[in-house]
Amino acid sequence: MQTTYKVLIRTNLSKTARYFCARQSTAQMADHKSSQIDTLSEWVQSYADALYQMALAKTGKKSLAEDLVQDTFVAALENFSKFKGQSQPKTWLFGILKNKIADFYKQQIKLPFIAFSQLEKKNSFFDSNGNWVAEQCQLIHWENQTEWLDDEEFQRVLTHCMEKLPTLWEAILRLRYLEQQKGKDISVALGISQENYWQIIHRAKLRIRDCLNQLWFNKK
Amino acid sequence: MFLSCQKATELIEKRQETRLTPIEHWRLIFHLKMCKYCRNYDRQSKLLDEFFKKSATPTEWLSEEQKAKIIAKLSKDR
Repeated sequence: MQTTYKVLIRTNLSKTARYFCARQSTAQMADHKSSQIDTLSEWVQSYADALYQMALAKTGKKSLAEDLVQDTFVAALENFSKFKGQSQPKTWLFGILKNKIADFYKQQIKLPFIAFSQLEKKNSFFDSNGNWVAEQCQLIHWENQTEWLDDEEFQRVLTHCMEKLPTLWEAILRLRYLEQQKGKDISVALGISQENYWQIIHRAKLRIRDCLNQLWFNKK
Repeated sequence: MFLSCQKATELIEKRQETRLTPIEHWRLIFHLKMCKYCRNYDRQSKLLDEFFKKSATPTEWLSEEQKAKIIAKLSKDR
């Protein structure tokens, strides 16, 4: 009998305690939120540029990169409680941005796959035996021409050639060269096989090579 | 035994990603010895790598306007 009484008191006590805790935390939370916003606003000043550069490198589109950075900070505010200060704020924010970019590409992937085979047939570099078609057999030499790398006009042509690729291909090139990610990681992130991955690199390079030959090297 | 040019140039790209099997490796070496067009592709493929890497470093900053916009958005439900 006595023990039941004790248990009853104890549960009642803990209920009361919980009630007070809850009341206190609502008040604290408003305060909390405000300080979270302050912290994040500071982070915008410190890290937004770096985040923007990464988003721009990966997507190549300014307005899109701006949106991705904004989404990153909004998501950071929503999930602030998950940030425990165990990692650097910068690392944490970059993690969020990476997910946002991956989500963006996942949405994109659904479209270009359809166009993939059609474009391939139209724009063939090899005949049915796998030999170069005649027009690909002009030896246009690019050697000793690396000074063009610093040429703005050349960069413009190169960007133009890259933009003509299907979105998925362009995405793969950007992830590979601009982010220097490993092929294995890229194929996993984009949900394609490794074999498919380097085949796309192959085709993308054939296209860009052709595009540069036509627009740049042939003119010289 | 003989690789087609298409297959050879595919292997050139594959080589960057994974190790070729010994057979693939020797067939490619042999093909490149014989075929000047694929040798040309091989060189240009490497230059393309340079081009892509070079164009990789954007030096743009996020405008102050954009930063203010983000902060305003965060403070919205303060």
